[in-house]
Amino acid sequence: MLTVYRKNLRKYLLIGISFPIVIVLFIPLIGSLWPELRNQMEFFQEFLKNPIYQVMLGELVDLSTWPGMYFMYIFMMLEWVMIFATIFIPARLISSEMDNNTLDVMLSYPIPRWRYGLEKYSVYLTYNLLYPILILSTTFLANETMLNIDFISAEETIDLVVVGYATIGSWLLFFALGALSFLCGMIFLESSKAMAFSGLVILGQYMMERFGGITESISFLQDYSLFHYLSASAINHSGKLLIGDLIIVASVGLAALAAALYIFQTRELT
Amino acid sequence: MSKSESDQVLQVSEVTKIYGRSYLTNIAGKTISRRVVGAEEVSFIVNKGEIFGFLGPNGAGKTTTIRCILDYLKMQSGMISVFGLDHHIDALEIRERIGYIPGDLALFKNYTGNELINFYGSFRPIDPDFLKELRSLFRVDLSLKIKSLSSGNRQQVGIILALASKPEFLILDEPTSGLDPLMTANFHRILKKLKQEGYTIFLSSHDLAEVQSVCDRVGIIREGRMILIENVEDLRSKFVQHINIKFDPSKVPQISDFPSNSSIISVNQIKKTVFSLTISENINSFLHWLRNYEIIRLTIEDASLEEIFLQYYE
Repeated sequence: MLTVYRKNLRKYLLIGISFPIVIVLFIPLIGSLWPELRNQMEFFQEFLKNPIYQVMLGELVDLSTWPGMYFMYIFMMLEWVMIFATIFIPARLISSEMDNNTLDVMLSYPIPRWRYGLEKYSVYLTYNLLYPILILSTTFLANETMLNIDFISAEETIDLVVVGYATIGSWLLFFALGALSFLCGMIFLESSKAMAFSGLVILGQYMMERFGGITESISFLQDYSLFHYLSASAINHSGKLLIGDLIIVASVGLAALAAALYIFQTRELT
Repeated sequence: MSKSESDQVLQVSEVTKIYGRSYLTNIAGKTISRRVVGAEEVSFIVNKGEIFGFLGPNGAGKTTTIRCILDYLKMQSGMISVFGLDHHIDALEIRERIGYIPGDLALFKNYTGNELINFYGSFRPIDPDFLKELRSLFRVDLSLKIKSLSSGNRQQVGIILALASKPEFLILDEPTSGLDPLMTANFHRILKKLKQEGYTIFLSSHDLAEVQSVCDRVGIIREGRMILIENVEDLRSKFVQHINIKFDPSKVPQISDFPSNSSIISVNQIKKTVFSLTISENINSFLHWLRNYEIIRLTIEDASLEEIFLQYYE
């Protein structure tokens, strides 16, 4: 039962846990530096009014507060990890096996191709679940510790519900962008081409979101980017997880995943 | 289903697989396109309990045909059934009963042989007694990671994986490539034993000696077309053989001395004491004649596949 899933869970253990751990280690790091950073950030806040910084860091960032600083650092890093991971990992899940010829033996056993692909993709999703879990638990501990040692006041603590929404949003983005990358892998079945194309798709969406935010005349580009939906900074600002955004991202992800599995099930393995 | 049909494990009927077109520029600078044929109207049957040899030079269409059987490739036309089941619709049911060694074997390199046996064993249950026998016959250390093994040892692991569940039907695509002669002999011994127990084997090879030693029937494919299906014994009688003889200088025959009534096709004198002969069918009468001379060296080689093809066309 779920043999492929369990095998790949072990295979990707190191890479699967290392990225979430690196990200959450930044929470106590910036927390411990917060009293010194607070003064500097008030100065930097003036710079952030520049529209270029707003484009780069996302809108509505207030670095003079602990939640603002926290959201900017942690979720900006998470976004970059997401771009890196979604381009390189799902696109290679099956295509690298085609490169190495290991699929030849594997698919001579009685397992449907779609199930093999789904079990491998589920491993990617499972490790991405570590981000919400570890970020939430580490943020809770950081909040409590900083409060106890008077680094922050009770009003300055981070709202864990908002962090929960933002991490759920990020996980769904991991899912949807990953599914698009996985689809590229199934279309090309050759890892170098698959990664190049998934890079084009994912970085293209990232650019559309960022450049679309510069002027009103090209803001329509943002509507075509998944990064525009469930953005952590917007969730932090509004304190809500928009159901409409959630449906859009989940639908794109499910459609891409279904298409990828269908293509893998029916295509030739040349 | 009639009795004869139930005895058929594999039925391949008029399978055609075209890969597309290739474009070549000739000396005059003109671009010529031609179809890239993988297999063209290939038909044959493999009966229960036999070892069927599938012979052909590299690029003849052996692997294409096998990949069509396994439903990895889509055919333009034709029909394939395994155990009377459709190879595409009933692919999963078929895969529960077959074992496969690909021509270009690749295994997960970060796993040990034992881990791979356990992993693949969860899809098709292992026969523990047979696995024990395979472990004793092959000398590969299954506790080592695949990436640390030589290509020959990896091939042994691939053989063990394919055979460990003792499947009813084995599809083997050049399974002995990279194996040393001792391991090849062990492998052939296992194939013969499986055949005696009623298992069916489809063995693709370009090694004539291998096919001769283990197969009951042989199909020869060339440029995507099946050109011949025969019993191995019958085919053997069609082979030519090349003989090189070095006579003792004390008594060397003239070309005209060679027996004309034996099956000698041609005689060439390479050096004063060295002769090269092409002989068909039975060489007994020729060997009988050789007793009159003192021989320093004698080598006999089977004809190449190409020669057999040419001979067949003649």
